[in-house]
Amino acid sequence: MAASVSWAAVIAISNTQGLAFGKFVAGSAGSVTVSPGGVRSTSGGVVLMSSGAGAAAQFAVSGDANATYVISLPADGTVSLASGANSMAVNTFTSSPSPTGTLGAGGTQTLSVGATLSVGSNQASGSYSGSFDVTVNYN
Amino acid sequence: MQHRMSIASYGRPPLAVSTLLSLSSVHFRKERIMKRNFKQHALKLALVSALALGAPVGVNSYAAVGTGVSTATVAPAITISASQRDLAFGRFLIDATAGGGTVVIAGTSTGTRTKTGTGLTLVAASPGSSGQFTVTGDGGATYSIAVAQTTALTSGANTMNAGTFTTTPTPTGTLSGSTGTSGTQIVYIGATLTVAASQATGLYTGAYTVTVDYN
Repeated sequence: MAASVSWAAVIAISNTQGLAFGKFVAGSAGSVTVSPGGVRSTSGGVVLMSSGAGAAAQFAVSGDANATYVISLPADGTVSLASGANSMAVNTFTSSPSPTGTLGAGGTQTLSVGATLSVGSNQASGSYSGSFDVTVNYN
Repeated sequence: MQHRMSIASYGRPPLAVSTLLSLSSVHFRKERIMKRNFKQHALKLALVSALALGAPVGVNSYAAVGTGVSTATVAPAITISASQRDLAFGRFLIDATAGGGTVVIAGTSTGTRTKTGTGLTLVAASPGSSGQFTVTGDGGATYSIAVAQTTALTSGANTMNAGTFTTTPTPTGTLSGSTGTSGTQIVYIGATLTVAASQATGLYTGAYTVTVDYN
């Protein structure tokens, strides 16, 4: 039993596409949500601009064929995007699949991740960026 | 007591336990020796069980972390100036017997004026003009331009309708510069004024609204 585990392929994950909230105008406070399917939606005084589309993050997970794995997304309050001294919090991360994934016969699966960006009232204009970690592990 | 319990838990026959329970001064030393032996045995068992548990524990060390990049662009609000030049149809004469017509101002920078209807005569000295606004927002952004379809010009109780608004650019504009910088564009507005044959003379005024919005 121990031997079979030691032969298991190490599970790996790499980011192949960033999580983009796209371009929008901040009037009063609100939020921009990107679903794991890449669909943008808003709340409050945020107006989306079609000229700057959003996108869900995509990760390539690889390991043992047909193995199931657990996905751990960032906790609320741990991720933010910054533009100079200005920042916006990113919370409520979601993924597809969730909360576990199953690698295909070829030992790979694409993992999509979305989240909600909190936009302040009259949020300063600019390009914001940040990073977040997604952990996968065999279960 | 702890030792006895662990012995029992490792499957010692009940007989052995009961032997230990029958304590006497003679057997006590032996029991200590047995305890020591059992302790060693228990340690070995513990090691074995740890190795057995090692499989799932070891898998945890294979956890992988992927770092994703996240971005967002907050664009400045798009704004449109107050009218920088009036949309004016200028001065014209009406021959009521020849019927009414229309006066058209092209929605271009020059705002060329034309007319329909033989009853209308344009006064060249008062050629009118296209309306002009400046739109400001995120450089390079495209935006839509909308103008109300019809608006009334009034002179006291008399009215004429202006409609069929046209713009340059149309139907969308593109602000100068690139994203992250402030961009501008001038928008020109034209329209068609409908004049009745019986239109009363006078100075007619009205207002129209131009709306711009990011695409």
